Amino acid sequence: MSSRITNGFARAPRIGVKLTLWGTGITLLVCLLVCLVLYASMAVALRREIDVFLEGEGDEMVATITDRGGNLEEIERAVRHEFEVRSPHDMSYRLLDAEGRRLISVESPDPLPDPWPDARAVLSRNRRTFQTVAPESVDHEVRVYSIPVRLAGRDPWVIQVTYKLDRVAASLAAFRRLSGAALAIGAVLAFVGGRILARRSLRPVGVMTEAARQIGAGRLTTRLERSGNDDELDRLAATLNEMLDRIERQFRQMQQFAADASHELRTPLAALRGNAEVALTQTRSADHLRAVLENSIGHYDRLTRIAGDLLLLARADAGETILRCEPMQLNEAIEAVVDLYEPVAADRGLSLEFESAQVVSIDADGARLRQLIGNLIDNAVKYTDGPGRVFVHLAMAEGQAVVTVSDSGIGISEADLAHVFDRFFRADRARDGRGQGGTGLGLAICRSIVEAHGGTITLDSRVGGGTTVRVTLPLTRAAAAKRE
Amino acid sequence: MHTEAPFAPPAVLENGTRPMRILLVEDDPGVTGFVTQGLNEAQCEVTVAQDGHAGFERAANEAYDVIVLDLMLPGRDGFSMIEELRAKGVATPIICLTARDGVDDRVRGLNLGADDYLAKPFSFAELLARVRALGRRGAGGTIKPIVVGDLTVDVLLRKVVRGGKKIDLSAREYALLEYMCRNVGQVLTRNMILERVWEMKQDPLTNVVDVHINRLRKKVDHGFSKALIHTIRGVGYVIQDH
Repeated sequence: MSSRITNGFARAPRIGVKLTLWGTGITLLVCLLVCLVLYASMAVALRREIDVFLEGEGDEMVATITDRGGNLEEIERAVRHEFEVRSPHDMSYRLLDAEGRRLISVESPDPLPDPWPDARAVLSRNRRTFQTVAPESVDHEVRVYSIPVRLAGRDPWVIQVTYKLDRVAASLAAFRRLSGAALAIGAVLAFVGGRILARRSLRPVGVMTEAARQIGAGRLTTRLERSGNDDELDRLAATLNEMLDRIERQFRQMQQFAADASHELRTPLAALRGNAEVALTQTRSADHLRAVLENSIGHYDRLTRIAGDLLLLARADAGETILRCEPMQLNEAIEAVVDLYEPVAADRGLSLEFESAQVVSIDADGARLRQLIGNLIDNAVKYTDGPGRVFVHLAMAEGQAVVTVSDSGIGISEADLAHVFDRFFRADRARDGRGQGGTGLGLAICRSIVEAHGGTITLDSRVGGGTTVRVTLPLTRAAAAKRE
Repeated sequence: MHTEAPFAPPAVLENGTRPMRILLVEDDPGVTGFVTQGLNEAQCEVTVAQDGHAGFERAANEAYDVIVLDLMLPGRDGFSMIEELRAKGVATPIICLTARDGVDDRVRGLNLGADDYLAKPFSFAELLARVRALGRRGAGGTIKPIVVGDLTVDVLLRKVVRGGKKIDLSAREYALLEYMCRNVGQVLTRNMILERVWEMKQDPLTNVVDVHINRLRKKVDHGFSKALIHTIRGVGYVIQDH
């Protein structure tokens, strides 16, 4: 089984690969952002540190110049002394005149241009200035801190403290290389990890797919295995199992229906064929043959009725419109049907009565409605022995027309009650066989007709206590449309 | 409706009447076989057209008393045929046959101008009764009292008298008797009676119609020397005086 699942992945590894690529992509993006932020803050921090240091050195040099009262020789000696004592790396100290020409330069060779082009600008603005310059003679940048100095009775000077940035640049370059390598390794790890994760989390899906495929092949009783930990896949399995329950139930009903339909159709066919065969085995009198043919017409009629009923039900099942609705008075339709059945009921020693307190108008298909009422009254008359009573009542309740057909007949057992609307179900086959051969579809058709009108039909019965069928129908077409 | 086709001189039946001429438009040989045989044996002249075009040509150009038309035909469908025939002014009564017992088909056919409708499978007796009823339809609309033997039905006053004696009928009993009397000598099937008198288009579930006929018999025939209402076994009922 597992090898087949692996094959399944090899065939169409879409979700897994997508998940992996997305995971890898997002991981890389996050890492890249982190590196950029770190790099930027590191670069800023390094510059800031250098600038603070340069400010300190600048202040000190201003103090040195001021202390020496502007004596260039003394100043140079002091600065050089200081420089030699501290021997700071990467630094240089310069003093420029107003034209930017070099007066003092500690540390040589001094790569900065002479004269300094911005000296005049620094003096005229009279503000301390940071600059980063890239001298042509060296391969690194230099940070330059310029301070305007004015001593009484002398031309203004510019003090410059500089810092070579080559080591900072090297640090940043090292960081960049490191980040790149880390990102590359991270990408590989993220891809491999994502792939493993995707495979692991999708493996149950593959198992379920395989299981579902095997169920579809005709074993409807099998169910998907549940992991029981109530995760998404477990819930999916539960949902699929519920769906399978429904499919199995409907499949069984369909099988039962097909078996019943086949039985109902085969019985008259068997009688037809048998009668004809037996009649043909010997020379028969014309009267005998006539009797056989007359008998066969009865069977044809029964087959026709079943075919017609099944067609109607199939069309209703398929959602086809089986109605042509028109405004009509329910009272008149019921009266006509009651009138039709009254003599039959009377012959059986039954009273058939119709009572209605008011005129009830509905939108309905008159022919189907009379068929419905006819079926209900026919059933009531058939299953009630005289002396007895069949009572039809019409009323309005909650915006609905309510028709009840109740009889004082033999009733239906509780076990049978659940099945009365099932197709081909007959509570009492022996009894029905005596009558004019119903198709066993009567109540199923009643329900189809009622539901097509947007109504409801319920049946209430007790053995020996009679049966009451209650039909509700919407009063107007608008109400019916709302119910649809 | 009764004009003879020039190329077919009318045969004359024993009782002196002309046979009914019927056009059967139907492609299924199984159906045309028994319908043709049955109608011939019932003294009708049957012409068969096996597709829509041939059927339309004949229906439009030849004179028939009744057209029996299958709605699903090769060539062209029955609905368009009915529509075009009526548009051309051909008023010959049409009975539709169809294998689909759909409400829409029935109503559509009747709305387009068909006169009656039968769903397959149908009983031949049913078809014959309907063909005859349509062929004689001219007499159906009378307002003069109908006389059958010594029975008189006054269709205006809805009064029934037999042998000088007034007979009291319920509204439905009267409707049943009037329908039968308007078709004197014409066999009416249970389905036709159910359709016309109770407006129910379906096979009777129980012997409801027979019970009503028996009730009517008790009032109309009981106590008189001669019965007017007769049962035609396997078909239906007829009212006639002989």
